[in-house]
Amino acid sequence: MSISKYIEKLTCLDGVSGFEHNISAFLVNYLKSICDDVTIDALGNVIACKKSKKSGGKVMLEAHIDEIGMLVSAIDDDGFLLVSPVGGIDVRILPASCVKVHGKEKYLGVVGAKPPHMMSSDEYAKVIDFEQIYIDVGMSKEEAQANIGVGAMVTFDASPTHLQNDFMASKCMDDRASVATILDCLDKLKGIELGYDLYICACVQEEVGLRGSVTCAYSVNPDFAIAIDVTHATTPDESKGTFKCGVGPVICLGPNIHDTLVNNFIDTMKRSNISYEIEVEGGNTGTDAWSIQTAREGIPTMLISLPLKYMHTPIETISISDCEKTSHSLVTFLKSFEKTEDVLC
Amino acid sequence: MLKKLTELSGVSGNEKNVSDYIFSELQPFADKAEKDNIGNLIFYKKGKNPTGTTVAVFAHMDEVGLIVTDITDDGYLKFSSVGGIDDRILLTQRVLVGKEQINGVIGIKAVHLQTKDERGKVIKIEEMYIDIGALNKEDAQKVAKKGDYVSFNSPYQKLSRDRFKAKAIDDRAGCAIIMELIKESYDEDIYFCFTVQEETGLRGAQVLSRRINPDIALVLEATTASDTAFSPKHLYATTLGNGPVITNMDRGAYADKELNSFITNIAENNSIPYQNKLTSNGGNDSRQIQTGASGCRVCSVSLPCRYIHSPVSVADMNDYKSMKNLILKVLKDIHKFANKKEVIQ
Repeated sequence: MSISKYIEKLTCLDGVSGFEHNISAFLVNYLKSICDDVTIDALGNVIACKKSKKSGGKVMLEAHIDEIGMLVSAIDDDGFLLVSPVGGIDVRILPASCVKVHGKEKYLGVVGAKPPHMMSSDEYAKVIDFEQIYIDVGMSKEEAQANIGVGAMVTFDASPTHLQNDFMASKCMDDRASVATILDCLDKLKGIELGYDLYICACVQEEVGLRGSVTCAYSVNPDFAIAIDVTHATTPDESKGTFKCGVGPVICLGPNIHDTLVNNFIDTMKRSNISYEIEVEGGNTGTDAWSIQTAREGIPTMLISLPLKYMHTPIETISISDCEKTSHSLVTFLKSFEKTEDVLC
Repeated sequence: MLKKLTELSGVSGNEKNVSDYIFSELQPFADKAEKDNIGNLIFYKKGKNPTGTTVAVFAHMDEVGLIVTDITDDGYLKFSSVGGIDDRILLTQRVLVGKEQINGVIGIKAVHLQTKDERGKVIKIEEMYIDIGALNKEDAQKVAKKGDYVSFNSPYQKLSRDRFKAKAIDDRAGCAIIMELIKESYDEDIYFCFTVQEETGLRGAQVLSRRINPDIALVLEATTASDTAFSPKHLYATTLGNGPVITNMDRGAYADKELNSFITNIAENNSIPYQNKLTSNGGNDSRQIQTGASGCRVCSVSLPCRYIHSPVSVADMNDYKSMKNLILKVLKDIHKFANKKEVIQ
């Protein structure tokens, strides 16, 4: 299917960090038909292998499947749900948003906001606190306790919205858009014999500390890894260090990145006339690339990112062309060598 | 009908979609159906045994929303509010722009890019922008222009326990009730009226009160229910599930005491739950109707509504049914409520 269809399917699944089973299950089922080996590990990471008859090594292509959200931390006497954030959320986006509370069933909830008529001028000027956030599902305390319970997962109720041109806004483009990009890359490699085993890794718990990718890298033990994530796109309120949507894959340089590997990648892009941008990060890239690099006995790692507007909100916006260009860059690179050692020296 | 009505876009000044729908639905039930110079709708229905008193029922068709004030060079839309909106509920909302209702999102810089100071500030509406996915100003101008009305994209959805969430419950709930009640028969002649521009200053009602010059008026509205988490009980104003609100006074009008008692007695005699408004904030068309022409006996009956003036208003279907039932009984008996234009000798 097309990348935008993959995105639509994937972003409609709900899976906050630590609760990714819906997405893991979907991917296991889907990848079974196109990969030789599909496994799901103890944490929920999905590892699918496109096996080669040759022995050119092992490559790991990775994206994370968890999304930011909330967990129910308490139920008050009137049935309102108090919550704790999972991952980094700007609390200012929450009032008057819709969420899904995952209890015995999925329940629609509204994040409450105090109306303008009710506020003093002091209150009006202040930013709301996470402790003042609550969710209204229309239930009594007893109903909420019976049907939801403390610890229930809460996700944004935000299905994909198509904007002009090829822009799409949805929850969890971070990082389902990258998963979609990898699935597209796999589609384009169908029928092509690679010289090495290609491992597709859909990892959990990135948003809460890059946790799934490190265990996944341990199991797979690849010769090198390419992590696909998102980076900040240019918006009216931020143009420093951001990338315009439509520029294509954003390749990271810096200490988190294996020098030779990334230079080989860039050379391949130049030779194939594929446009790209460079992002420089002098320290922690804040992505799974950081944890993969020091997994096991150390793994040469690369990071490619998709420019994304409004990261960590229910309206994360991406240009589908960036996903297509990134998929194309991956396909081109993965076809360009027979053995992993070819691109590591 | 509530679903249909709340999902129509009709921001103050641009009520056409709503008024066209109501006009086509109700025309067959009225003896006279008119639209005035400002957009108000008046449906006159003759009674079986009229007393000569002019009785009118009002609801307003408009909702709060936004309006495009400018288009930036990068193709983003700047906007201001139409009616009272708390700036703090706007970030990351999905909206519909202009006649063609094109998709847009109200963006915000990613949380990762904000300093601690920035995260503590309330973002004002002047700093916000709508992203419609345009590449630049020229591209945006193909589908949007200054003066385009913008409504919230928020479908009618059910919550638990007969509660529902929708935009514009204020005052499509009032409109829906009138649309149902006009189909019944009454002893008294009644004007069933739908006003425009209530949210921008009760302006439709000003005009209509002079045209009809009612002796008795019922204003059907939605009113604040702040019976939510963290609200002190004495500031609840009204409570969901406790029936329609018979208002004694608000910022604009003092309800006619005898009319108020008349309505209250009908509620008691018919075992219809009702409540009184515990605070005196807010105002509605009753202010204009009471003093618009030569003086009118007015009372507001309202539906308690949480998160009013936001895209996620929540109300209780039982309250709606009780309110409809109450108004029906009041109108059926209104001929018994004497009109006191006595000559004092």
